[in-house]
Amino acid sequence: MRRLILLFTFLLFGIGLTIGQTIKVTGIVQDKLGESIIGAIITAKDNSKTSVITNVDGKFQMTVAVSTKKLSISYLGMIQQQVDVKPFLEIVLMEDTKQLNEVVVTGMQKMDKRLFTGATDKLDATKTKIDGLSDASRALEGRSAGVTVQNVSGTFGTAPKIRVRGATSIYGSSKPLWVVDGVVVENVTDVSADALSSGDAITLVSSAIAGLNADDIESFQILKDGSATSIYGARAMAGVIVITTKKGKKGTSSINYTGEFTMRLIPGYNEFNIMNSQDQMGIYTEMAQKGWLNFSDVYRAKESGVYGKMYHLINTYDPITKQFALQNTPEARNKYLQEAEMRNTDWFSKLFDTNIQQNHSISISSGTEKTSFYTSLSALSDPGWTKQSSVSRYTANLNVTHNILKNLTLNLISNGSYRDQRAPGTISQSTDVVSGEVKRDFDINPYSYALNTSRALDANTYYTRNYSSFNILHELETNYLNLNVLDLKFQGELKWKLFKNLEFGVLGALNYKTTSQEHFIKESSNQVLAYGAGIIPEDVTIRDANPYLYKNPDNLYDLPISILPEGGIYKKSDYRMKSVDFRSTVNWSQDFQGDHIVNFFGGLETNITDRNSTSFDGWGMQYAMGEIPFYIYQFIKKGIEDGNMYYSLSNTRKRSVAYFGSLTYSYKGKYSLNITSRDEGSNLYSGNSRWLPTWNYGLSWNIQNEKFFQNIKPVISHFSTRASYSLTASPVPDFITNSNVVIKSYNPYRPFADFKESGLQIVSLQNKELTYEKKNELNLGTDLGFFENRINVSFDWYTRNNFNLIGPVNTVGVGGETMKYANVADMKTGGVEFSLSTKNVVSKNFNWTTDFIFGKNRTEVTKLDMQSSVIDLISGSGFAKKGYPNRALFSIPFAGLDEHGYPTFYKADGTKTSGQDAYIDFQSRTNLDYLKYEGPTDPTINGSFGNVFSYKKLKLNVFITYSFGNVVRLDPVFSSEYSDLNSMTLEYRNRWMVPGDEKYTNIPTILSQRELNANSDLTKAYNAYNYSDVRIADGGFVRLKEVSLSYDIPKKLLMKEMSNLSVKVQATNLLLLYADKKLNGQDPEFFRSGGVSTPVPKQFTLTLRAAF
Amino acid sequence: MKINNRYIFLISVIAFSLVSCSGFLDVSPDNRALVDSEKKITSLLVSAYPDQSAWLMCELSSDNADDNGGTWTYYTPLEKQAFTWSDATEKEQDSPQAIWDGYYHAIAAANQALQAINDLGNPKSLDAQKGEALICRAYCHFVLANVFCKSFGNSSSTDLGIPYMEKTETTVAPKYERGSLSAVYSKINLDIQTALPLIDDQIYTVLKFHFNRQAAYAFATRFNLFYRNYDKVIEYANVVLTSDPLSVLRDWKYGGTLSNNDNFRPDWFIGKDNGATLLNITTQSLWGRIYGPYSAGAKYSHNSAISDNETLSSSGPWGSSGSFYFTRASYSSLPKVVSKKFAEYFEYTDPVNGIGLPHIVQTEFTTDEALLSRAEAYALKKDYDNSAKDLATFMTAYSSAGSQMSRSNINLYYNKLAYYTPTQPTAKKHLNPDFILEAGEQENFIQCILHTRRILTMHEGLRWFDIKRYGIELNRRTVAGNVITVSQNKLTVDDPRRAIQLPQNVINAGLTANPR
Repeated sequence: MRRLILLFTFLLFGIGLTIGQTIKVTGIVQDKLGESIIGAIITAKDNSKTSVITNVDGKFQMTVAVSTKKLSISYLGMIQQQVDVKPFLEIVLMEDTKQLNEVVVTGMQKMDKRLFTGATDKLDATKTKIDGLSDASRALEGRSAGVTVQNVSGTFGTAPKIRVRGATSIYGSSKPLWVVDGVVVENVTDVSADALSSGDAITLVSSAIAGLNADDIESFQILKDGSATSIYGARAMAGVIVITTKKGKKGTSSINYTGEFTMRLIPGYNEFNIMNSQDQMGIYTEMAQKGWLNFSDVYRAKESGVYGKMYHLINTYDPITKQFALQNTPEARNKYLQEAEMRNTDWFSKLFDTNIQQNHSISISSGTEKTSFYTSLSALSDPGWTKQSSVSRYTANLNVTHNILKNLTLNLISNGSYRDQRAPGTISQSTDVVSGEVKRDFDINPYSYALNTSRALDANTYYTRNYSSFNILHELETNYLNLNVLDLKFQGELKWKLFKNLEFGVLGALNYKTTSQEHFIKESSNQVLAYGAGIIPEDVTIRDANPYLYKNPDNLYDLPISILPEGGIYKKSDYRMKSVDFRSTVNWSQDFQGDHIVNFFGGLETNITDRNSTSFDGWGMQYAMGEIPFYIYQFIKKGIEDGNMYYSLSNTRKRSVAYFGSLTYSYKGKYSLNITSRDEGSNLYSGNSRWLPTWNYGLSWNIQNEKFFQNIKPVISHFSTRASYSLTASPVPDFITNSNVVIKSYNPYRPFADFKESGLQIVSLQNKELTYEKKNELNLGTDLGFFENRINVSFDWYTRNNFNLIGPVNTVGVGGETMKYANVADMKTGGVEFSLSTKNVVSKNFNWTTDFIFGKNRTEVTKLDMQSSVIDLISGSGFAKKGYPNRALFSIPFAGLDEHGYPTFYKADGTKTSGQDAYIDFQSRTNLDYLKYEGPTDPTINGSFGNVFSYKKLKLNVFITYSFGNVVRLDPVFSSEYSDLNSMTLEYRNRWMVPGDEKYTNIPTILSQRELNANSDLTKAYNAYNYSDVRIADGGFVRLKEVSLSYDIPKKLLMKEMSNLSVKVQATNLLLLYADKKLNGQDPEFFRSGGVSTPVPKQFTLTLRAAF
Repeated sequence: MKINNRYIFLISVIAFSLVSCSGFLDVSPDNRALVDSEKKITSLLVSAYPDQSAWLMCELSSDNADDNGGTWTYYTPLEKQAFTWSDATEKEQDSPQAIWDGYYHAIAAANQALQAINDLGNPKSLDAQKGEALICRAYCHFVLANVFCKSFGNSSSTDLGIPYMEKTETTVAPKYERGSLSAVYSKINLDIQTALPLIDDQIYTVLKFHFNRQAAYAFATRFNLFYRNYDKVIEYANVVLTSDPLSVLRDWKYGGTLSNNDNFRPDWFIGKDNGATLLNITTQSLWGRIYGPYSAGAKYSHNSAISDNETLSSSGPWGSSGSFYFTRASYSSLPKVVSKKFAEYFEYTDPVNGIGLPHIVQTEFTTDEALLSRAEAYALKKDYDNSAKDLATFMTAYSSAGSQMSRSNINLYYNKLAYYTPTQPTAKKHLNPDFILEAGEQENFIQCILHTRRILTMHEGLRWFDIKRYGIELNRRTVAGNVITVSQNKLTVDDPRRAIQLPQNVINAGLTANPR
């Protein structure tokens, strides 16, 4: 054959005297795994016009002039090669490891980074993974400039508050879109950004990817600007995080095992400024003097601790010993109180555990010419950091790729996870609109309890709460939540290379999630006993005071009765979500002689998301009597009268269809232009607003490919710039559904049963103009590499105009609603992002790399028709006010203590409130300029500083994250009245005691009972104090997030079958290197809201990795 | 595979992509109610009644209230604003904002129901629902017009009206004009005319909370009285009152035997067995505690200075008020004088913290009031015999002195009675209507009817409309003990403040404000 060619060549050569002599070359281009490279460019070295591209089999054929001595073979992401001209060539291209982030995975397609015009970061999961943190999303903290991760709660299953380039919406969640293996992941139920920090049980299922085993993740790709996200158009305003899971590779076969063993530290009182029992009893003595802890009140008080117990003991007569449990003598009482004084109960050690959390993960990966697969199983077992917080999670993952034909590939992924979780029993929090207090009935959150409860209490004694006996350990045993979460995903993708440059893809995916949340409140729990207090045992005073009793309104003379005479309470909430995605795509790419590269990617996408939620309040469940319920009709009657339903059902459906196309043109790899457009329609909108076209224009200039650049190449090895301008959007927040009129059933209030009837009412008028929230973004970026990319710098500047945001608007109201929510608000945001990564030392044995990441983001609400109410602006995470950042926190301006030690405040008219007139309307939406602006609650600056040192097989990683620019509301610890259950902070030592103290202190006095009775407005004043400008702290911090040391055991020590064995010791969340002193142990990221919330613990993890 | 097949595939993919997806996207995002059946339309009309109250604003704007002086305080700033005819700043229950929202929200429900009926092709079977929707729409506009506009009269074609909503609103903030008051009245009239023959009590499960036939005719009676269509007043009142009015009037004698404590009287007044109560609506309101026997809102209230001379305890052609069955309540510790016809019902939304919504049940139409409207119509038509007969019938039910209400006694009493001055109060105030009211017998009858109406409708806000209709001038006074101080603040005949100012939010959003 070769001879024949040679002969032929000579023949041609002969003719070539007149028409030019040529030589015919054939060959094949492959990667090191032997996979054909399709589309590699083969160019004659001396004549760039002579150029061909490999076909689907990686083969090529070309004719070159005899004078051509060398061919150059290039392919994106591979090292360019030059070979001598031979008639048959077998070329193996090597991956260009110097430019690792060369391929951008948008979830829908893979793109050469040099053609990519957007701002994006690719994170290698093995590098970012924080062992012992089972939710992969938390690992993103500080890893990408502009991406903030706030751990508002650390409980398993709760989502951190993640922002990509800050807030994009005022009322919406600003949550980034999660895309796993090309498919958008929907939450089982939508939890708004505010609800994330609520501590409500629903937060346990707020993380979209809690069912994903972190070990299965190959990489994260964070798409930040409009150019990167525009392919998701109307869903992607808040950024996109693309997760790619591991796949099998051809020609390799391995089993990997990872075992993580995590121990969490128990918090200690030395971290907080909580009084010890001596100081606390001192306060109680003052309270007693002020009329709070006298017998008649405390004996029947709603809640009582040491004193209440003492009075009960004094009143308990033992007929056998013929003695009272406690003698009513000053000596006996003092002795009792002295015991309490010396008690110093460490609630943390009673309620927290150092049990080891284990996570085992095993995976098999293999591949042949035809088929490759990756499969894994993992089991997480966590006995819980606090009591009643155990978790088990099991995941399974299978990812198979099969080449049916040479040009037809099928990829099947199935993914399942099951979770069984326990949490302390909790009901949702609510805001008292009158006093402005955010509260939660029956809260038994261990962390909150440890901080809120007097250390003078004995952990094994029953005290009083809700007029009934209460002990935290017993309550946790008898009042808890069980959560079962199942998450299944089935996905198939067929790729068919129809022509050389044309590929079709069809993808279908089904995601099914179901969560069953059961709340067991057993017979002997305080929450159940509260429903009978005053009846059993009978006590007329308590009976008349107990709000949980039922009084029949039909008969004015009826006595209150218990609606829970037998059994406990069994509450159940189920959430179900089914999401079906279908996508067909076409990808066409053509390389014209290496000068012009054109790529078109387009397709159609449909999505169906059906959600179902049900809840059920089982009343009178007799747990101890065979689990048979017993209930009385008055329970139902009360429900009807109060408008509380004992069960509920809600179904929601989302449908969307989108067409998208993205055209990229590149000239000689120097200049690239990208135009992307997507037209999305959704059933959330009607009429003309249903469809929204979004678009992006992007440009990039790879300066290093310019001729003039070659001179400076040794110093600057890489230099490219990018620009993009885009329109992207997001669906309106979930509570806005009125593109068609919303009419629902209701029961108008009527005083008597005879007058009751059910009706329909307009909940929300139609707004056919309702449309997506939108954003224009201009992004300018540059990437620089110095000294062979030893130093890499990336810089991005962006400005965003968020418009058509949902906000409240005042209308003339004749349609039936004066205040409506509509697309009326605007916000301007912008920022800079900078990342620097250096290889400080590169040597055979020792390597040192440093990464510095910095992101700064500012937001300003530029248009908002109506203001938020006072309570929204001063509490929690603040709210929106025109001219201020989104989520701005305001304070009631404190005007000092008055001569009684009462807090006073400046009012809207500039005058001061007084103890007599502390009228503060927490619901007011007008004249709010007197509120003091404190700052945003979302950090404006954050990033990280990471150093990795490796010496031979040892690797040390020190990772520091930082966050600045926000303010934090201090925990609301002040109150107009305290019970002998409360603990107090050390600040109380400086409280106002005698007239004149107001000159020296801002800590208000402890009110006497007489003072409060005389003026109930003082309750508002004390609440206002919690929301005043003295109760605010800087939210900035520097955190030593991770210190880890790993060691790869040398191969020679391993058995033959083993390819790798490594050990890693890691300390996570070790300490705050900087935080405002005013916080006194309060974690600036964490919202102490009780319920199921806990901060991210300090923890130590031992990780074993083995590969065979 | 042949190339041909590939092209077929290619074309079919493109064709598939372009298939219209409108059906797919028309799926409703949730299970909201679609009003598409007779039953659902009937249900929707439950919300066609306002859940907000205009009673506090109207009552405290009228002469049924005085400033009780120094030591007393108001409960909300709204009371002061109503009493002094100044613009309201409050937006909570009882405020102009709440009235505006509550009544227009009810109108929206009526319009939504009408649209649904229209969508179903206006079948005969939905006539009763259509009747209810129209009458609700008319009634809500009527109250809004009376609160926020001037009284209907000769200048109504140029006086500012209110937007008359005949369609549901489908966009965020469409532009509206207020139009003229006469346009509003003619639309109310048209809706009533269309509705009356359609009303059918068969569709109501709770008759007293819907525009049953009697209630609808009672409304038509009141409307036409205000619209100065006196023949219609008589025609419609005849339907309400039957041929034996006394048999349908309230049994005040029995009511008077009930305790003034607790809710015994209110429960009876609104009760379902009480034939005189034609229509109740439940509203969110603090008026129950502000008017009632509590210290809340004691600064501006109906007091004995008013009661003794002008209202509940005043003398009249009936002789002394001692003949009244339904005795007023007064309190040694409070300046208030109370006719206990309704009470607050508190709905707990959060029993633990005692938070919830205060409600009152408002009896909007009664047979008694329809009878007095007819008496007024007769008097304005100079049919004094029939007018006197109606007044006597009313007084027979209300007191033991029914026989005293003769034509001659009425003339005698009001001829003799001096006109009111703030310091020498009487029940006879100068009337300045914009139509000719003959001095002498006609005025005497009107004085008598207004006097009686004021007693009957005490605390219910109707007095404010009567003041507007007859151009009665008001003085504000402070009554502390026996000392009466007259304020400079006076409501003149053509005082623009007779039309309560629109809510500030509504003005801000672009609707023309009432002149001030």
